Amino acid sequence: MKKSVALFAAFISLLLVCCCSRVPSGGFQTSDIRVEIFPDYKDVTIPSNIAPLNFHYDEKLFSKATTSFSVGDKRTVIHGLDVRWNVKKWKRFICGNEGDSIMVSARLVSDGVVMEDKWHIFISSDPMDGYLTYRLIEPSYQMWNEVEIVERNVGTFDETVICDHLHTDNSCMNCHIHVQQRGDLSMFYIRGPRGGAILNEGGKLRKLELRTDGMVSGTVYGEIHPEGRFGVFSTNVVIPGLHSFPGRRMEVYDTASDLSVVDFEENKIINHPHLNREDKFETFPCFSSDGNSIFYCAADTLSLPGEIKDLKYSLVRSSFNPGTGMVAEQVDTIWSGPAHNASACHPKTSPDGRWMMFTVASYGTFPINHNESELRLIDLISGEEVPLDSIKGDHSDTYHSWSSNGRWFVFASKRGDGQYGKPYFCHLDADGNPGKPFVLPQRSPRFYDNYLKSFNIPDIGSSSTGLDVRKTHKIFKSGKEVLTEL
Amino acid sequence: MQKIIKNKRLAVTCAAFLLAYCFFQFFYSYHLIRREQLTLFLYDIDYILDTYSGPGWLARLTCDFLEQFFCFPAAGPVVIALLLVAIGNVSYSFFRCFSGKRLSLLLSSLLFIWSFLRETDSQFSTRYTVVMLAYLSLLLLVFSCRRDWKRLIPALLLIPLSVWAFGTPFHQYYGRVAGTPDYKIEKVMALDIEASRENWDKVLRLAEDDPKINEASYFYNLANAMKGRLGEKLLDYSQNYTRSLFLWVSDKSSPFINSIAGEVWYHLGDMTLAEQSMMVGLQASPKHSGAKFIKRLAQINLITGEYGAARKYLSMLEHTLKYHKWAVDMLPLTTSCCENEWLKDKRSILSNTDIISDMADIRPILLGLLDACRDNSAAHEYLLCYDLMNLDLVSFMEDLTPEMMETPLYQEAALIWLNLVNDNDLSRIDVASYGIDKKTVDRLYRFYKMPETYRNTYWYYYMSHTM
Repeated sequence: MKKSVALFAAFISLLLVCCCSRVPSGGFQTSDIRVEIFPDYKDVTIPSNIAPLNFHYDEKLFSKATTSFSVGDKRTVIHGLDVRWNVKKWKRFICGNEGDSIMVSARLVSDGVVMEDKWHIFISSDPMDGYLTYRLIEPSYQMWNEVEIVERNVGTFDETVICDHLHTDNSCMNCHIHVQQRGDLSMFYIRGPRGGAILNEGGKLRKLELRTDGMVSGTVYGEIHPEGRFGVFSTNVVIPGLHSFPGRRMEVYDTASDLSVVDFEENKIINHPHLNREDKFETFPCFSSDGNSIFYCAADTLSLPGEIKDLKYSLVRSSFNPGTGMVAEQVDTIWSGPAHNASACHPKTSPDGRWMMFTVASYGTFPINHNESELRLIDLISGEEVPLDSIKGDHSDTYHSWSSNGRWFVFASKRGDGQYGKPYFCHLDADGNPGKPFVLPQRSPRFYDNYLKSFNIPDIGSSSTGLDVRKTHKIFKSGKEVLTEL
Repeated sequence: MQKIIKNKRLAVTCAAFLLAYCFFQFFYSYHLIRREQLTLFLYDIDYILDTYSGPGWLARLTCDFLEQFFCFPAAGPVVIALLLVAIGNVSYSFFRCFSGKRLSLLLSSLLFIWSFLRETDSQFSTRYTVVMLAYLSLLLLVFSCRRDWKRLIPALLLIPLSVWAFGTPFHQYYGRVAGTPDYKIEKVMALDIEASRENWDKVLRLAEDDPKINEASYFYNLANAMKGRLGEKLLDYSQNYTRSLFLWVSDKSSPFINSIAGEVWYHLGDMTLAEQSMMVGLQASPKHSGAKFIKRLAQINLITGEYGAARKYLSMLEHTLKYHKWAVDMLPLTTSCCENEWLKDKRSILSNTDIISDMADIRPILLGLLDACRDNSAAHEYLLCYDLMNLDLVSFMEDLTPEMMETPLYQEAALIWLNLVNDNDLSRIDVASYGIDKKTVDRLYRFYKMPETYRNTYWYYYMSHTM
């Protein structure tokens, strides 16, 4: 009796399997093609501490998928059009295979045709810093509502909100930057009458009014010196304007911009006359990795917005005295905007001092809406430009940030949809050769398909800032430290 | 006896349902349709899991699920009426736990009326009613179990579960304490919704009674421009200078005004200004994801050829109930090889020069649109009317073309200009050579005698704003 029940069950199971699988009467055909995956994680180079690269296949094209991953002696198979990893399982899978490649094989069924594809994921032996901060905001159109700055653990999917609209009277906030990738030394702004520059020094927060009477505005872009005492910032009269040509959206330009040095120990602001010239726009300052120079972008003043397409910023360097905060008058041009008929923005040096990376657009200071914007790399030892053509997207690539070993960088790219900035990581080898960039992994493979905010100014940190909304709320409610001009 | 009481209760319930249904169906329907426009419900498991997590997830899920139907005829009023009578019934049963029938009926009726009035507030969300119903039901459960501790304890344990599922019962985001119907806002919402559907005749019908609201004038002007008679009808309606022609996206304007400011530009052909308004509208919608804005952003990006963005918005709408078919039809247009008549028409009026405006400078934008397409009659009419509302007759005469002279308003304005440049002596010139009718000149002389009877002429507008 038991035997006949078992046979009957086996028969039914076989019948069910036959009924459920949509196999055409003629059987399977097979073909090898390039199957698209979303996000595109094919042939990318990843650090070993990255979160699982969850992705999906196009459900309109395929009805079934089996994806197998193998590296060393490990093998994992995931069934389904959504390829999702458990974080712990992914970590175990990756662990010990740095320098090796994951071989990925996909077997998909589309209208009875079986398709196969293979690709690699290279696990770099270069580690990457484990935290990323960014602002989440709708694509820029001058106004905001309910903005937040978030810190993401790149090894997992955990996010901590550092500052948000609920705790700051719906104020605008921007530009969270780490000092030399340090989590315990960072800064961001909360705008509005109760806001200020929020300086995080080992968890102790200060709210500063970084403006004196002689400055054209409060500080905007900038960086803090590796030793933490000084900061160099631009002050900008920022004007938004709208393009009439379809698809070009918003342009933002400065009608005045200067540089100021801030002494955070003495609470002083130094406004050098040679960095506050009326015939020059100066913006996007940063320090060299040794702290002995500042780099910034400079252009001759023009009548704006009429002449904006002639506005080409050059990348220049001046010596900096870390003991006094003085900037030398001598200016060296590193990359000439007029000579390249293009404009340099957002320079940042690699922590090892070897590389200078910056964004190049055809004109102006607002590359995020310029489809042609791309990242450029200069070898500061040879002075030569190193090509990064292989990583260029179809829309703007801007706002990069280095990992502390200089082997990874992240940048905001609007590739794909052209509207929403997403953080892409990229490996850079010792010779300046980039790997294929990959987007910050998310728990849901379809996250970016349905997400309607931009990841603004992604910045890498080697450790957590330790900030949260309660701490920032407390400092938001407190009084400001007012700095005076030296 | 019990049957009579039950029948009475049923009769009261039916009456309350009919009252609520009729009000929202026949007198206040656009408020509910707008709720659907401001929300988005995607049939995508990842989206649902990501969006509806954390405290209050069930209330938000229920609300968005219900509100997606509000665009269908009668669905919104039925849902709201059902929720309201449920509140009335549950609260009646709750009050009956410790008071008599009459007092319970009185208290539950008050709660019903209060909830009903709150539903009429333009900022109100169905979620607040869902939360109230959930907590009333929980209270009823707890009170009905109060004599049986074995049932009471599990009922009490449901409270923290409810806080997780429905959110805290009271907090600042649950709308205003009281609400009253606002028919002016209902009118403006109606005009916005019908304008976005391009039902221009209905817009004009709705605007007929001239409620003297600037937003109503804005839509009235747009509808007339789309029917090619902006100049003809402009001064038949209340106008607030150029502000009735164009609205500005600004942090000083209300979210509603910001969200409608792009409507004119969408039809005139400036997609940047149209997109700015939609993006700001999206920011101000409750989950930053209003379906109305996403649909319009998809259209704008299709028109400008930004296919990546268009594909993203259309792929989202593909997972909705209402916009699924439309999105599926539109998706093939997200490649440069596909075009249809709608797209051709829309692209034919786009600007082909690039100027950067500071957003308050209207004339260069309109002139750019006219340079790109001389047949853009709506842009031309807006330009002329803008000049007139600005009392800028010099620019008006520069922008005027002979074929526009048939419109009495433009003849009236041209006559003022001719009068001014000829030292108030029209007899010195041949006005017919400017395309001005002799009847218009005769009317001008009659206007001088009795200006009050010519209130809808440009002469009256000019006189009242210059003297």
